[in-house]
Amino acid sequence: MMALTVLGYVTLAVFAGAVLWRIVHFANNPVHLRWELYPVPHEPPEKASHAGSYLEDVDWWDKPHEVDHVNEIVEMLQEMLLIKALWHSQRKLWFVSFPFHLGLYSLMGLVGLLLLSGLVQAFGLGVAPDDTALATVVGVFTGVLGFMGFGVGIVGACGLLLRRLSDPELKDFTSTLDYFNLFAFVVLFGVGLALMATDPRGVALHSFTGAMFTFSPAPDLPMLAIVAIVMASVMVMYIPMTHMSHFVAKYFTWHSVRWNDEALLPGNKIDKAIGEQLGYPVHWSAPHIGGDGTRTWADVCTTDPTKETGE
Amino acid sequence: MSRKRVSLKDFDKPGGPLTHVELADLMPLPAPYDKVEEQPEWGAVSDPAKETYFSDLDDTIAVSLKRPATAQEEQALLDRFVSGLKKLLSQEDNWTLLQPLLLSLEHCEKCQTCNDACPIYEASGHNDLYRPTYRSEIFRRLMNKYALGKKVRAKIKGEDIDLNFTTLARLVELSYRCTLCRRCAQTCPIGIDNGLITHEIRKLFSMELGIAPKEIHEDGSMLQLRVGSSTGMNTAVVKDNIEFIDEDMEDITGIHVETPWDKEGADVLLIHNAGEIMAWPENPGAFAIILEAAGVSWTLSSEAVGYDGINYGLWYDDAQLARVAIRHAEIAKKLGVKKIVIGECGHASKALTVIADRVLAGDLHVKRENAMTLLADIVFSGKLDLDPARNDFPVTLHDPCNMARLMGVSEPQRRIVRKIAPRFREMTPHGADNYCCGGGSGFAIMNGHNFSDWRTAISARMKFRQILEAFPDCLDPETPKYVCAPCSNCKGAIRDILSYWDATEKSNIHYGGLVELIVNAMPEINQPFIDFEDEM
Repeated sequence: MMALTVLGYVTLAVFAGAVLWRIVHFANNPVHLRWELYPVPHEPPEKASHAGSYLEDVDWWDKPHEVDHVNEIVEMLQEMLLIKALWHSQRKLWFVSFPFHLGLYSLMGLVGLLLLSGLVQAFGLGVAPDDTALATVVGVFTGVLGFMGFGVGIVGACGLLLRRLSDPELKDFTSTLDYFNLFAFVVLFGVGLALMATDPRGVALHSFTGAMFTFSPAPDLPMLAIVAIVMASVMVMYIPMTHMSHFVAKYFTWHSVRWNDEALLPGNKIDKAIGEQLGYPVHWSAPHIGGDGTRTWADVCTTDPTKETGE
Repeated sequence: MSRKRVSLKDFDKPGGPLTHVELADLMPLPAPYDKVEEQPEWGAVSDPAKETYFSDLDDTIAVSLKRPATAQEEQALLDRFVSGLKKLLSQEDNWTLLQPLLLSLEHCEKCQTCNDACPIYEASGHNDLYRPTYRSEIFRRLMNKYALGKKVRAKIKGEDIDLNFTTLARLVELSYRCTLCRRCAQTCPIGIDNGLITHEIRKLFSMELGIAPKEIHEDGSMLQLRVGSSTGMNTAVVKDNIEFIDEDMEDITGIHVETPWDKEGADVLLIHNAGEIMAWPENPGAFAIILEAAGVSWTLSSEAVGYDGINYGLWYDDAQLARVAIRHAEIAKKLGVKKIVIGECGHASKALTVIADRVLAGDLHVKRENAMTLLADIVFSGKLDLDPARNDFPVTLHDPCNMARLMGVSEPQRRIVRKIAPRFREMTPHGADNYCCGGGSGFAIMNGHNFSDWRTAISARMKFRQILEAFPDCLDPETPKYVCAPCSNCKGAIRDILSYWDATEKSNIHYGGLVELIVNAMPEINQPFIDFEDEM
């Protein structure tokens, strides 16, 4: 089945392309005004302990700005892996959201393992369960990740769906597409779980990635495996095109906005960027702005609107 | 809760207010303020005002938006609104906050995690209209349909919304039911910032349609640029007032002070919120006493805008923000001072030190800091003789959002209060998790129609509860208590809370700034600087 192999390539390409597009979409925005929000975890411990900042120091510009990268990474990992903010702010939701995300992380691990397996197979090493001790270990890991991913994931997805269906606070804000997305996850996880039940070591899945890395048609696979692969592929391509791609956005909301406390200092890169951006034309048309597309931000911000407009 | 739910689908449907707030629905307060029947009456919008201005959001008016007289006028408003939506998505017109806006528009999961962090939503008794997510979702739907052209998608998703005058007018009013405290953003697992979206809605209306509350725009930033201060004081008046304050300080404290003006090359250019000079003259007076006693080389500027640190543009208009910030920087450069220190004003501090940091590029760069750091430096340098026993009364500290949550400045003022006020106790929560005073983002100065009732009863309700809960052991009228609020707008809001609830009379609660508490601890002054009897 060459079509299935091709679908694998297309899925990887579309996912990578869409994620890249989204990264560029945010990364290409101009340097914005500072909009930080405390606590900022890269402040040194004596500041971070009370959500303070370097702005608490008299003549801060004469002092080195110490940055605690370790604390920032710890905070990031807690947020990424454990969804710490949700644990603190809405624990009821955490109990369904965390399993859902844990399921996804496990499946990401499974995909990684399958791709690695495909690569190994391309070099002629067998990963069928009975071939080698390594293959047995791989098989066990496949089972653990698969059952955990689909099993825990379906608990979370069902919980999220039921919550949206039953909570009047959420109903008003939930679109038909939101219901569809969650339902699609429930079905996908259900199919995946059924596949794992019939093929706990993921022999079919390993064969599929093996075919991908040897550029050959996928071998005859059970119908359940084909359905699972097709559904998962569609989902993997779909996610980065929707608001569910917050795994990309979250990097920017944290690092570029909430924790971005870098000061403009004479001659630094922010100074240069802002100098350039003040040259952008302004089109805002309220009388006190008078942006006609020829005046720049620097022009507008250095004119007195009370004299210009008589307001 | 007897109130009907307010759905997103109701927003574009004309026909009266979406909700009407009843006192009985609001968050209960501790005794003796727990009886609904004893809560002050809520003023209604007058009939003539209702005819002239739009009040169909919640029977309250903040913006005073006139109803269009003709269909053409209405269409022109709607067209300009759509044009403003598009400009918010433009790199050229919105480089200032484009990236945070896109992130918040495109990635909200609508999980409602942020709602309970909002003091207005909580205090309103969980009124749907005041959810941080409600306003943002309406705006998101308008943006998707009218600026991004996703009309079919909106219908399929069940997110369709019609842009008409009611939608537009409700949206601008609703953008003034949030204090931009950004407490909601702290809780979001993705980092969505509903405060930012509110800010951007206000910006669109101001910068494209010229619509903003009179107190903030015409009588605020425009008056400041025209005359020199939003208080209306010109150079001559401000100098007269400060001279009077200096004399008054000498009478009260026995210490001779003479505020320096336009001293070239001073170490510090102090910029007060000029509202202090008018409403709380003891605050600039106390600053002068402290700086003189500490031997600081300092000055005020008499140049227009240079003696008023307020920057209302922060709340609604990027150009107004930049204009005022640039004036402050130019004045500092001209005087050749080493740094600008902003007095006890949260929004002015954040505007000039943090937000305008990415406006003051090139030659405009000037060193700036908030007064809390300088005061802590002075207090802990030993330059002042301070006797904490003179502050032997219960004190609690209010954290202005702009300083604590949005600048990370919460410890210097705490260190001072801990040192000079032996009966200090914290509010819960405090620091970066604090609650807004209720007067943030301009609310403290907005008093048109019945808005001040809405502010005091709802947006400041959580702060009042916090204040009461900070003094559980001494809420009796015999013990004078002090709420230290090192911010002019916060003080205005707290003044109004205490007056609305008659809390100074009933519970002997007083308020003031940090410098007053410092001067009160100076043994060399003749009489208590904080006079509780005088305020009763």
